[in-house]
Amino acid sequence: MEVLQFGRALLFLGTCLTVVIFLLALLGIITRDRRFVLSARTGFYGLLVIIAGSAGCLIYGFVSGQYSNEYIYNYSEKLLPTGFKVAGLWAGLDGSLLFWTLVLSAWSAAAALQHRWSARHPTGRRLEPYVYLVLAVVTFFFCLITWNENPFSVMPLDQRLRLAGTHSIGTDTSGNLLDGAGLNQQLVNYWFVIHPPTLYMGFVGFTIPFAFAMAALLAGELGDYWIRIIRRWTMVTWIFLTSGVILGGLWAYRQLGWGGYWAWDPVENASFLPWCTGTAFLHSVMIQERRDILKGWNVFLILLTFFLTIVATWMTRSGVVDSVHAFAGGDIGIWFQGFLFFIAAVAVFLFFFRFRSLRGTQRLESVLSREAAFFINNLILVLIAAIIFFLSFYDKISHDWFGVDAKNPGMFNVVVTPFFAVLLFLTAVGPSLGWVKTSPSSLRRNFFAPLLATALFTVGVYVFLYWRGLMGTWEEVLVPRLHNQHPSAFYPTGLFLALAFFIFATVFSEFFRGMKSRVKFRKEDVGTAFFNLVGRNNRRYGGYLVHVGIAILTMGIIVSSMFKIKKEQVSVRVGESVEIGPYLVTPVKQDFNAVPQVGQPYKLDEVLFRVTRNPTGLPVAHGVAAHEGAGGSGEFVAELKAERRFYPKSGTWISEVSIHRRLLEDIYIYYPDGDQEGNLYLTVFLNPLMIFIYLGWFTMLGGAIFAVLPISGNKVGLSE
Amino acid sequence: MKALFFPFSLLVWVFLARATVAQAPGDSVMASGVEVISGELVDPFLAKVKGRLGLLESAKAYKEVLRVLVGDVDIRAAALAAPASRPTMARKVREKLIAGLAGELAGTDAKASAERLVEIALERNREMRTSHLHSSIICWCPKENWTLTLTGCARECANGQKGLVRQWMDDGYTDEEIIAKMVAHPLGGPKVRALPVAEGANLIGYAFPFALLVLAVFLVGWFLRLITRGGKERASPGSPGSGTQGVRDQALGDQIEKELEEMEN
Repeated sequence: MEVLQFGRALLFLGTCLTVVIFLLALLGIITRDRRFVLSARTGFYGLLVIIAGSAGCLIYGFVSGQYSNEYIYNYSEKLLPTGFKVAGLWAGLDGSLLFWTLVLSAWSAAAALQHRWSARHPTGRRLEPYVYLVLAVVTFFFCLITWNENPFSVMPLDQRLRLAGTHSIGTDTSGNLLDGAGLNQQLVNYWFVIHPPTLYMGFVGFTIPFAFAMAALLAGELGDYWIRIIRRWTMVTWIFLTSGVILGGLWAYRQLGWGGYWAWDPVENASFLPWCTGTAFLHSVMIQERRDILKGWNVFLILLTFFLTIVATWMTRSGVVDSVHAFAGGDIGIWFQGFLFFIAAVAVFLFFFRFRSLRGTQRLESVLSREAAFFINNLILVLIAAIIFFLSFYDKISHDWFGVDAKNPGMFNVVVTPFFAVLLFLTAVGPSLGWVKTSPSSLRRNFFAPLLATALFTVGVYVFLYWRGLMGTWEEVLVPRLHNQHPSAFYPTGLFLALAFFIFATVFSEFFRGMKSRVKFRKEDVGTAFFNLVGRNNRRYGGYLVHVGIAILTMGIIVSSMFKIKKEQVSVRVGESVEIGPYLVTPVKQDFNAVPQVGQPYKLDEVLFRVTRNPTGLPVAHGVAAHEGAGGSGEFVAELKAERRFYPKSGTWISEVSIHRRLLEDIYIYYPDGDQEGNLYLTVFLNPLMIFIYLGWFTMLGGAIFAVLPISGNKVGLSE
Repeated sequence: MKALFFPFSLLVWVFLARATVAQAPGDSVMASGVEVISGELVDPFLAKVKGRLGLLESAKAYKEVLRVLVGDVDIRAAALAAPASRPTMARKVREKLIAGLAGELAGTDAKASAERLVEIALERNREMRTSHLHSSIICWCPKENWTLTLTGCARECANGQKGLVRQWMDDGYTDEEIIAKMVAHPLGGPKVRALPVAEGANLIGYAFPFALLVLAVFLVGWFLRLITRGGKERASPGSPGSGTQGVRDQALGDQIEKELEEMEN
């Protein structure tokens, strides 16, 4: 227990240190004495060590099994594998706040480290104490609420003895519990080890651009400098946030057994809100860099993005919205509301105080320009965030304000999808428009071939659908409906596939024209031209690669959600087959492992499935025995193991899905239930093009990482 | 004579009973309903495909049309008959459809092929209806807190609700009736709808996003007016504070345009 007490003491020390850093930064600003600023900088390194020590103490408590600690008792147990014990740090509200503080202190230390170089620039030097001031305030808030929630609290002896009696847990001579209640069974999954840290890195990372923006407002240094510094920070943060959001979806796909990955749950939405505004900022920042316009808009966007990360934390932790993902609510909501009000008030005041300095020196020249397209793209992204925010609170608003008991998960797709279509169109069009203005001849040159290719592709898609017998009637295809569309309906399927392809086509066209120019005028061979083109403007071409990733992701989402095949709650016995698309799924063996053991704190009911091709290609009745339904004679495709786990402590069954990933489709088996008579109740999915979601994600990551690499100047154009 | 009386009276009784049953109002409604639906839906379809089907493989080209057709048959049956009679009415219409299709299909097992085609269409229609209903109804499992539709609710506790959907489909209820029944269910209520009815306060939910859109369009319009009215006088690419990037971009942009023009010529 002493280690945990030490952890709490370190947390206290860290909280005090943030106050010291704040005072040092303030003194640095008032006295203009660099020694104060340098001390504040060193303070952030110390803060990281202290908070890491505090978190390390809690992790030690998890690993060494100090179950008399209330938090460890609630989120761990003896038989849990070590990786999940460590992940217990972010499994509950109190620990997740400590983890958040740890990530924040790590980002702050990184920002402090960066000032070793950026402080050589006069503006960087001037901004530095202001940045520390803001970071100290935010870190202080998180240290304070972590202190208040206290993940280090030890249960009183009578509570421990009561729990020991109720749950038959052993105690030592001092009355310390020898086992815990266990981690939420849905979290015992490797995605839990990687998804929350990635998402937190994304959320918390936006504190750094926020700190720079606030510092620029406070210091009145609203030139290009702070924008250039935070662009890279924002990009890195965006990479984490994008990965966190996608990993969350893939985790849901793997764990929840419904064959999907996004359900517009309020907490999922909360992670998407800052993504929208952060993405908008990454685009509009280019306009300020190149054209010195939208200064105020950029400040607004970065403030809004940080605000939304705190809103997301508030939504997840305050119990303000109903969600399957939310932590249990408490009085913490008040703290967050207070903090939100504080940062909003300060930010709005500073924004208007500096409003005159936020006016750019240039103006947009034409609607047909890249900056205009980016600005409209910005508006759409902010609009999407606003709509999702509103719809996430819709049931609360309708209940509390209008007395209507209404829920609305179905409204998201209906309302938001058209906006995504516009966004994709702008993603395709924007980068091919010229800065300042685009001449008609340039428009023709840039868009004729991509549009033609897109039209041919769309026709090809429908020919393919017709050939595969997947096309609906003309009415179903052509008459637009906002809900309950046929899979082959032009809206959304055809339109989104066409828009995704249009993005490919415009990006390809950009590469092609750039290379052609180099080959012709610089006499380079094709390979050299490609590498020179891309290498000399990695930011631009990395961005294009991100767009290609979005196009791939869009194709994956549309095809996997519209053409999914599902057989739900089918009852079969071992040896009988379920037909799904061209396959037969046959359970061939069922195993029970009734004894929980180390690393496996559950009883296991595991079924081995054999997937074969349906040799006749004709429909087979469910539950037809393999030898009758030809399941045994079809071409072998895969063997999968789906399982149900029984957790004796909570008395609950949790199912683990089994997925066989093929190039063009996922065969997905969910085994939630069985009975004493040997009936297995299965849900089987055939999800097409799921691999495109991974591929899109990796492409986006690759593009973003490439764009952020410091390998070239920010040159523009084909002929730098 | 007495020995013949009992069998004779039995025969008379059976004859009268059959005649009575045949003349029951329900049967006449059923028969006329089947005729009406066949006349409206099946006959035009059969006339359209006459001489075009041939083998089963070519008939498969019509499977989506058949899916819509069997769905429409259910909807028409729902309009003409009480729920209890609808499945029978729809089945009788489908029997006519199968008979008609069998007449058009070539091969020795034309009847079996026609049955298979209709069976595939029925199953596909059922899958699509289930998918629609599941995405329109919120799962009432306690842990889901009314945030997920049945589509996203894979928990065991949702099985009962999904079973009700299945059962009501089998009983001949239309999608709208099933959703209404789910709303009327003691565990349901208005919040069971994933897509709230667009009336009263719910209109705000639908209108607000588009009000935001209007606001955004207004903002864009205002912004564009701003840039086209005062922009040119204010624009001074080389002015202090605009950064060298803008000037360089302009020059490079011009150079790109020039190079591309040259390439085209």
